[in-house]
Amino acid sequence: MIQRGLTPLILLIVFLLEGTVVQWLIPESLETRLTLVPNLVLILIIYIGTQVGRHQALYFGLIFGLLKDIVFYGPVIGIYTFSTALVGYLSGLVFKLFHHSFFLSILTVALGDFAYELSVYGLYRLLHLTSVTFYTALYTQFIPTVILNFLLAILLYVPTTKWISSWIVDREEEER
Amino acid sequence: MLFKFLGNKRLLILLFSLIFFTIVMGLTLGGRAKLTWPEMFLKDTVSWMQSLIYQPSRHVAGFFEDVTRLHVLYVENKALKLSLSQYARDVAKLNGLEAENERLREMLKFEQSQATQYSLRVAEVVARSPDRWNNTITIDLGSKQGIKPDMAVITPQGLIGRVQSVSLLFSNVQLVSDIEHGSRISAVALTKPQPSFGIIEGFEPDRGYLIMKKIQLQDPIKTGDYVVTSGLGEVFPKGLTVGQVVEVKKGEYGLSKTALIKPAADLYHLSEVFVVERSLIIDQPASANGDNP
Repeated sequence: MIQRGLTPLILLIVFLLEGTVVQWLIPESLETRLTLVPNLVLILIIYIGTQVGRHQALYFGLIFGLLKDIVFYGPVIGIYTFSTALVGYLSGLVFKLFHHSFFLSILTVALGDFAYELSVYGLYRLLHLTSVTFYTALYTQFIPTVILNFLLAILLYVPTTKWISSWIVDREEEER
Repeated sequence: MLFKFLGNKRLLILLFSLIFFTIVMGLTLGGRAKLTWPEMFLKDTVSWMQSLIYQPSRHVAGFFEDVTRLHVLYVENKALKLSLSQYARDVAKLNGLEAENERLREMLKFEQSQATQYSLRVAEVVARSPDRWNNTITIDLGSKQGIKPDMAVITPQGLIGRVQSVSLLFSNVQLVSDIEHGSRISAVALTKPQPSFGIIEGFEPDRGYLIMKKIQLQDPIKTGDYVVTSGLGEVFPKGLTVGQVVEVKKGEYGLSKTALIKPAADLYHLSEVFVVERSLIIDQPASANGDNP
């Protein structure tokens, strides 16, 4: 049973892995032609959104988006914060409006990741920080990344669901 | 239904947060080298945690890669031995030329400029942003070890970037592929009979080439020429390898030439880099070694 309070810690560990380990797992032959960005933290936040609620996902999205902004990227603060929080909140709406199911969660992850990539790219283009054309970015980054994250989401679904449902049970017990 | 979903309060919050984010982005945009202390604190702690994970995982991945490449390594080794003997001959020739250079300099009483005196500090890469937009890496030297913004960062193959921001124990290095909003590199192509000067002002992400502009029309630059930093821009020291020219074309308005340069350094698998530190040595004319490597 993983306690609820460990959630920030788990997300932090995943965040650290994102910037370090996962890069070395991508084979060299692909690396020059495609850019695969495993957004593990985003996947977890989307799962939190679809299974717990939009407020939690929003807060975690804000915090970990801000962490990513500060630690990695010098020029501007706000791009990852905004995008992660937005996608977290929107995926939390799924919790409210629809009945939960495996396919819905996976679909939300795929769409949410695509929206996240679009949002980040859009803000970078808006602020003139990159000149990669949309079509190039689409073929080399967005689509491979969404596919990769989709597969990762399928892998992570069962452990994440077990962990989150134990968290909800704890909360319900507290409220009684 | 959309209205009911949005509600007054939510719409207001959304609008305010959009405005807030726009303000934050506008304020922080534009190359801040000096970071606020909460940022520095966060960067240091997180980078330290990342440093614990990065090197071991690199070693593990490297081990597996090496095992699969064993045959390739064998063939490569044979080829390298052949070229090594040729390089030995070139080195002998180079020594002769260096000695001649010394004599001629002394005769003309040349003084070495400060730009050629520098020392290298070894740093390890701690983390890397996997995105394509923002190519920065974090290295494990910071202001405590004397790193300042704008120092050049190289690997044995060539220039890779410039120190962008510095916190106490770690620094961010902006790679040359991120030159959109970075500093320009003043470079020179080693052409004969005289070198061609230009400024590296951009990067083409689709093919991975640096764009060198403002080369004079009559300069004899052509494909295959080596490009190094010229030291004239006073940000990067002189003589750091940048790459090789792959294409030369007419520049803007036809008044200058533009060259596309393939970077000599591999920007993907970075693990150890050198930070070039300028040391202010009071120079005497014709010092012992000529240009430092």
